[in-house]
Amino acid sequence: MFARKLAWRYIKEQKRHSVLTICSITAAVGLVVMLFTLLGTTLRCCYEIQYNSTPFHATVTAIIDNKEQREYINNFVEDFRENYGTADLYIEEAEDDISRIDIYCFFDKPLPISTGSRLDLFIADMLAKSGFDRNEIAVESDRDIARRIFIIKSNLSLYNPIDNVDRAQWIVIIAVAMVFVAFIIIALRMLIDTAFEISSKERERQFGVLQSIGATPKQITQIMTVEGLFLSVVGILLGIALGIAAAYLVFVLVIKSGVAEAFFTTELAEKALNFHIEPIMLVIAVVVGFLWVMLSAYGTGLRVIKKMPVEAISARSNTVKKIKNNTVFGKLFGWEGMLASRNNFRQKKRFTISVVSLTASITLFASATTAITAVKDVILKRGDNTSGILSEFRFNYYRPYDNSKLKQDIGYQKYGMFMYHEREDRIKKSGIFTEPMYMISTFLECADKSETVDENTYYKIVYFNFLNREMYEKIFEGKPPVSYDELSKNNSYIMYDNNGEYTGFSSDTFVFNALENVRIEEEYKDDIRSEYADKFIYDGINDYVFSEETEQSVNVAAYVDTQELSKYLHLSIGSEVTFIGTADSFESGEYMREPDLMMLSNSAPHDVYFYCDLLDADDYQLAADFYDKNKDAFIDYSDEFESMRRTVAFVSAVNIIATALNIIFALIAVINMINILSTGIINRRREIAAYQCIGMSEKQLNKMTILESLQYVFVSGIVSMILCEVIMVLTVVLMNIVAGGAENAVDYLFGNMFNAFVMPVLRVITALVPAFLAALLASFIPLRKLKKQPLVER
Amino acid sequence: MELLTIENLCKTYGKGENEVKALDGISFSVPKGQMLAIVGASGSGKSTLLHIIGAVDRPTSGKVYLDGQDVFKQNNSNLAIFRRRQVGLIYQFYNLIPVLNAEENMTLPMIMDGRKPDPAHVNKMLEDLGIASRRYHLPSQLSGGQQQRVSIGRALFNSPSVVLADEPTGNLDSKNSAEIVGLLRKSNKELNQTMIIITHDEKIALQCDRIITLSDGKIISDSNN
Repeated sequence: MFARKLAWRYIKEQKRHSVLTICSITAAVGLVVMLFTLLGTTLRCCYEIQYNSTPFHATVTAIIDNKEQREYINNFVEDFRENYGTADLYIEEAEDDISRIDIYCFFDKPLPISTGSRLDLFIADMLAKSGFDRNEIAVESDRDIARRIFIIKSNLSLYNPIDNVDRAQWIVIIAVAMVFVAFIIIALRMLIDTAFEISSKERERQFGVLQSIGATPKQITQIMTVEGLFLSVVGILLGIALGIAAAYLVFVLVIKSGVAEAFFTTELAEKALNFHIEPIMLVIAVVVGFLWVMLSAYGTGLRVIKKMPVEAISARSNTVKKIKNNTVFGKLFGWEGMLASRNNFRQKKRFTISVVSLTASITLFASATTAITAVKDVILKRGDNTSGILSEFRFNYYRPYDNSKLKQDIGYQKYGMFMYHEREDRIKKSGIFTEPMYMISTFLECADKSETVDENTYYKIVYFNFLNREMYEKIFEGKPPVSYDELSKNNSYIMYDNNGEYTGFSSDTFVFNALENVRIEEEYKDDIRSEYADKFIYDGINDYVFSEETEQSVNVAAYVDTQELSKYLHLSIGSEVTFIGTADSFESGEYMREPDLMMLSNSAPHDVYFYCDLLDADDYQLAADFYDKNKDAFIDYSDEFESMRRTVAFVSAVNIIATALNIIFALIAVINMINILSTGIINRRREIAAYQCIGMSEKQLNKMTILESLQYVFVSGIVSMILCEVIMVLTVVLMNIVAGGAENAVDYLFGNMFNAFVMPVLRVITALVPAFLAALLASFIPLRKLKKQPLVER
Repeated sequence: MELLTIENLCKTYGKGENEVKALDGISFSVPKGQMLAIVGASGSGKSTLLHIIGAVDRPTSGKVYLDGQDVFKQNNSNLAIFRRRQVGLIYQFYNLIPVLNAEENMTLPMIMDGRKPDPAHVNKMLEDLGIASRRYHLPSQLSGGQQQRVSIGRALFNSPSVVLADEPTGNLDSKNSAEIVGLLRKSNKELNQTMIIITHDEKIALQCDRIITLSDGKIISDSNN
């Protein structure tokens, strides 16, 4: 009764403390609720996505050939529907009374544990009970093509655990999430603890008085716990509201960031991507929050009663503390620095708690933003064509080996070449793409006559890539070794090889024996094989190819370092020697004018690759439709835009979640700091008055206060920088292990090693500025109020 | 009949070089109804002695008996009950609970004891102390003299075996000082209340039955007035 009354009075009278403590509880519970709600929503969305695409836990596929077996199926379905859930049947009748039956089984309750651990075995037993021979049923582990019935588990069961295997996986997922949440929850305990610690510290003297007039230790702890109870009710309710609101905001932002459109159809997104509050998780968050508040309150009560009343009243301790005479701040900023240092360090625990929370917040901000920026940069780099991707879309046109088909092409009939301009025009006329760049590509097998090559590399593939002007300029980044016009005029090539074997090649011609490939029809295979046995270069899969050697030479205008072009992987992958020519040269017939090459070019396949970007990113669907309508013109298309869009959407989503977490962490750190610093000032009002009484000027007082704030930020900054560097070292080591070579991996992600270690430091410094401002505000607002009171009153 | 007996009381702070002996083998007894003044220079150990008698601090060695009971043989909970029922403490700086009004502050030890204060007793006490009109005021709304009256009321309300006052007038003007001492003396006489008062004020000391003088944690004189 007395404890309740006093606790209630403290809450009402010490409004600032109550508000700050409620803020701490709200922030802590809010963060847990937000994380749990996001986790619940994610799992629910996963389930809904799975359910909407495969609304069943398992499929039973049976091939049956008599009525008896049909009866067994009916037995099974009846039994299943009666006891376990819904079963949908799809029957496909074939000839000779053979039918294929697919049964989609959806369990509306988990499997009874006693029936065994696995869903497929459980269904197999049910089928056996229905009349089938158990040996005819193949389950997941023993898929046997010869069996009659297959049971295949769907992924739905992962999000809606049915059997013990699913449950185990589920437990692993939850456990991993819980480990992460546990870390945060433990950190939050510190926040709530600090709030109570500060509140009790300020009242330590009063608790001492209460004890001195007869309050028992139990009554003192009761005051704290009752106070905790009152505050937790408000704090937890606000925390739930804040957590749900924050989670909802994050959810809406994530959905609006383009994730939904990038990964799912509008219909599926509408059905499956919904905000979900998991009641059990909410209960856990509330229980954990309540438990933490009560533990903190009780723990604080225990700390209070540890002291003898006289120690609490006189703020005197029986232990003698050593004071550092020389502090860094003292040396740097004179006596005000020394005083600031001592003021901060005399409340070591508070200082540590404040620094730890600020450090956690800054480190999280610096390392998360560094990682996200690095990943974003990598994606942008891809968009910037530095990792082998020239454009968002690539449409392919392919001229097959079979010349009969080619000859039907009017272009071929008219000009003796295939009509890629007609394809180019289609892209241009669509109006949704940028001006296409293109490349005509073909290859010849050759016996290399270069003297620099040993026997093992005798046989090579020689690629000929004819680039249009735009593409030529693009891949050489505007600095080609030979100008486009000069290359066209001289009917020459720029040579590079992917294996780096021609380093130092300086000849202006490249001589090789081209292997003329002739496809042989199956029926003539044996005859030709016996006749031209020595001309079958390859056996095995190339058995049908018969090659004849013809000596060829090409003009080499320049040799380029492989490294320079290797970023355009599609140009070099698989190539051994590549010659880059111009589309003009190809079109003028220079390439084909050479009689032997002309013959070869007629027999070799040609690919044309058109590269283009979307003019407007919103026209993505039009691009897909364009391909669908032009399937006659293009063999296929590769869609880098889609994967980039997905990655960008995914990174944005991660960014939003990381930012939300960051904001809450920063909020927690700021609440902590405001609590600690403002309380520190208010508690020392008498002391500050004493300083002023003995002649401390306002300027000196301000300087001391600024230095106190600076020290928090300074220490947190140093610790954060060290932590960030440790995280970076661990990242590099991890990447070294994963990528097998840290240097390249680090370069890929961060640009270079220097960046990797400087970026987080710069971010820490960026975070320190608002932290310092918050610290100043937390100190100066109460200080200003204090200054308004006359010295004597204080 | 001795109400309070102190035997060889020692209290030291710190260790080694930093060791400070606040009390060094103090022994004396106080009979029931006596008003005792403890005087001495600053740092002589007066307050430490008072705090140990009031069981708000523990001695390094030695014993304190109140009504024949060894005070420090009790655990912390029983010590709190002991303080609540047997001791009334008055501080120089009043030490009132800022969130409770004058009446609540005064009746707090009884409320903590789970008992309901008798309204008539409360009224009489407030009247005697001259703060009836301020009963619902918070400490911050009271003057120093009024706060000390509340503090005295709190110390006397439970009729404790002994009232301990640590410089009760140290923070007050002479008029208020005289009134406070008058109140203490009155309760000593009328209720036969045993009192130990720490003071620097010779006038107050001379109004007491007995004066003990401390120096460097030792009794250097013990005389009856």
